[in-house]
Amino acid sequence: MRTVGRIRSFLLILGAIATSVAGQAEVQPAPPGDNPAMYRGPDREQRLIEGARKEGQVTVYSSIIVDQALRPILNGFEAKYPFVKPQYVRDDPPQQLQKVMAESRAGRMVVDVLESTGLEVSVRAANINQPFWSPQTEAYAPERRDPENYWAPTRFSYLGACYNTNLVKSGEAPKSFEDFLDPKWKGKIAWSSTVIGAILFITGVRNFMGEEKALTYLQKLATQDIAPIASANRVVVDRVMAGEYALCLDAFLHHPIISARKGAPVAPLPLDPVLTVVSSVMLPKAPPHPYAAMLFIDYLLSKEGQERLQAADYFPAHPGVPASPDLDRIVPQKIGLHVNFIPPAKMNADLARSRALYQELFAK
Amino acid sequence: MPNDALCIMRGEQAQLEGMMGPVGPESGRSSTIRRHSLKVVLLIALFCAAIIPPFMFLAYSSLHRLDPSGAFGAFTFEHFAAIFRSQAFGPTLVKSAVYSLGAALLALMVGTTQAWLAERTDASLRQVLYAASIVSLGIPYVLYVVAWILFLGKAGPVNAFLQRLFGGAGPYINVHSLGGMIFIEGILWSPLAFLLLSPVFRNSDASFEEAASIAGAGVFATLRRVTFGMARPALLALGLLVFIKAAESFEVPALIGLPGSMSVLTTTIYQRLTLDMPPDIGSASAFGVLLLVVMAILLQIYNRVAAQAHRYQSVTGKGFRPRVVRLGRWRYIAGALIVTIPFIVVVIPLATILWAALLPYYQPFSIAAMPMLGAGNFVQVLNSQSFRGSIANSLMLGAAAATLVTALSAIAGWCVARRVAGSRSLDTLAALPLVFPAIVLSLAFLEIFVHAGTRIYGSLLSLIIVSAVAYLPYGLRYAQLGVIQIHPELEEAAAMAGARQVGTFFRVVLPLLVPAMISCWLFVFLLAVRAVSLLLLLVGPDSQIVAVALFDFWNNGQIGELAALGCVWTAIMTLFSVAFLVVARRHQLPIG
Repeated sequence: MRTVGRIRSFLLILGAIATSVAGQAEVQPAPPGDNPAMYRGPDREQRLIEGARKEGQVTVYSSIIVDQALRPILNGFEAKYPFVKPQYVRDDPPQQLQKVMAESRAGRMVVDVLESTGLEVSVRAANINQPFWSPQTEAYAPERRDPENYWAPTRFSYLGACYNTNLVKSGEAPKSFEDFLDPKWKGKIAWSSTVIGAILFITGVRNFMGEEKALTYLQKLATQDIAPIASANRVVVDRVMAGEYALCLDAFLHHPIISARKGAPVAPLPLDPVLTVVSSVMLPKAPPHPYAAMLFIDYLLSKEGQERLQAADYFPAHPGVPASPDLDRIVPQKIGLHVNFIPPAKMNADLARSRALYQELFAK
Repeated sequence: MPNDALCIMRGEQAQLEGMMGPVGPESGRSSTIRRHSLKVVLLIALFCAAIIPPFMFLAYSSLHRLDPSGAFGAFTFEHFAAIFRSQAFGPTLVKSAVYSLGAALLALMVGTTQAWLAERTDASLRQVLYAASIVSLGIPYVLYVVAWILFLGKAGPVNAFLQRLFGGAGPYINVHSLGGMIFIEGILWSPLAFLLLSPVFRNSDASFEEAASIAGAGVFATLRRVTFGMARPALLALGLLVFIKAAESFEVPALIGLPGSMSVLTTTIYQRLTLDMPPDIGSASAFGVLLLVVMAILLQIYNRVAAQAHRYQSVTGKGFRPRVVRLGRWRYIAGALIVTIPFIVVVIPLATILWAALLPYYQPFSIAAMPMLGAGNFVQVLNSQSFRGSIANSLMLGAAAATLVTALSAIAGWCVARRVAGSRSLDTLAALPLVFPAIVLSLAFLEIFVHAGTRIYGSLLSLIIVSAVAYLPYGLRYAQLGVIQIHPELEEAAAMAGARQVGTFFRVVLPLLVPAMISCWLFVFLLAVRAVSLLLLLVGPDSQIVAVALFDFWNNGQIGELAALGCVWTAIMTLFSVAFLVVARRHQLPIG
């Protein structure tokens, strides 16, 4: 019977381990008090700090690449507010939406701050987030903000083509959207088969060409046998670097620059007008740590937080924080190209039609 | 958990009472059945609790509209109707079938060849086959697939070589094709096929083969009609298993198939989840339900075949020794196969991964790139906090899931092997997770955990539960192999010699069961730590795991770091696998 006792105690220990593992993810309930989201009083910062100190934690869902920028931002925040432990989950936007919707439906939010691209309308339609005010937003251009304060801009992205410099000589690279219809590129172009990839490209084309011309253009483009890569846009650039494809159509234009610095045979190709989207930060309705959440949003939108993005080769949304100098050659305003800005509402409104076009023309 | 331990004890006690039935009073007999039933009922309840909720979710979401808020709305058949109406449905279905069948056949061919060479011939270097298969179980799926893309891709060394050989511009091999998908998925499953088949060859009785050769049959006729004939049920059962797993696979269709516009059923699910905002859970679930129906039919066939496999194997009781085929001149061909198969299964993918890990950015094999090789990515990986954190989580996840599965499998396996009343339904229930595509299972569990509360949602425990449910079928098959070997005579003999029932269990049954439990544990451990699509949606801030970190790297284009992390990870898993091999060998288990 002694052996039985031993086994039983072993199993009890296993159970205890399981319980402690489960305990790790436990979130503390929000402290009592009013919602700090829209508070504008002079003691706002003090109250946020006090509240955040009690909460001790903030959970950020972001689509920013961890090693490049998300970790530096979280580290910077933690250095400034050592009493709040920031933690993160990094996902692509569709998975982010799935997670926050599931949390919201169940009435158990885990996320405190949501940073993403293209989710503004869906998140608000699902009644997940709430308006917020940060003194930092005052510095931002009104036309790039949400008039109702359901989101605030964090970074811009400029999308365009890229090419492999071993396979394509710089003089021969396509320079316009029309150039991509040249039969010599047939089977040599790739794009990402995601919402932020091919679908966004189609929305961009529709936005500046108009529906009729866009349809004609896309029909011709479909005959080029573009390879859909079932991964993020960054992976498509990698395939081009590896020489699998000569060209890609939907790169975040800073990615090829970052890789080219290490010596990779790839170069960005901004196409006029340059497809431009904004990423944003949102505040859920019932975040577990509302004070820490607002403190983090303040930091992310501040010059200090935005400088972390700049250092990581992102394009800060803050007008006072320019992009790093060697990224200038893709910022449309700096190289005399037009901006094809797709605001979140437009991006969402056009999604269904763009997706239908994609499936009809390209996903055969 | 303590209840489970008591269950074993009571079960054994009841078993002994059952065997001594004729001697004891009649009431002892009925109490035996009651105690057995209690154990089975408890297990059935536990399995139901883990397996039925995902089914409910799947069925419900496939039959309801999704509101913009993400909540379920009105009842509808529209999700199903849309699938059958779509023009692509027919071709997709055909491609799914061809892909799964092809992968199953390839895995079986490679696995059978290895198992026969290793178990039934005198070929030299046979140990290499075991080592290679087990190392390959340590390579994460995603990385394995990525390595093949890099190796067989347009810019890969194979196409470069063919181009140099034949000239011309075009790539000679298109990996993003149905053939590429079948090749990679088939190779992916071949080590598993080998490891599960080798005991079948080892335990088959040589007297039939001797009879065949006495009757004048040649070596090949004997091989074809007797050796493989006797293994046929096992081969068919295993083929169906791989067919099911390939049909619901996600990595290969997404990474290999999609760029070549090769869509199968799971790719459609994947696309519906990634192209729609909000993700179209209804359509995905409807696809899942349809897949379940197909899988359920296949599973029925599989169960029938698997039941027959036992009949074919019923020779373990008497003393025998499998006949070793002397290869003679064929040794050289066998030797070539023994070198070639591990080369394809392990060396090529690992070498590709190592090459990528040593470069600052990925480029194809070339002498010109040699000077760029360096350990920069390894330094970065080994210094990174989050990598180290995720390695610890992954090991914990694998260990806990394996412990859970082994404990449940041991009890359930014992019940099934001793044909306790109700154990058939237990067997069927435990096999059900096989029919869930990983991506559908994770979607269902996302919904379940988020409702279960913030303590469990996103926690490592939630990942452990999902992994345990997903790998229970494998664990059970393994445990059954172990339990079947223990003959009730031994328990009876101990009782006759005056041992008390509890003592009999701990001194006779448990020591005999331990080796099987250990190999089952390591088997599930290796499967659980390499899963990706199963856990992508469920990871929270405290449960970052290696496989998910790998997938993020891949998506972020950090190929160098991805490969370096993969190398480190494969090395750690190889250490575990070596332990697996050593323990298994020492106890002469039906593996390795």
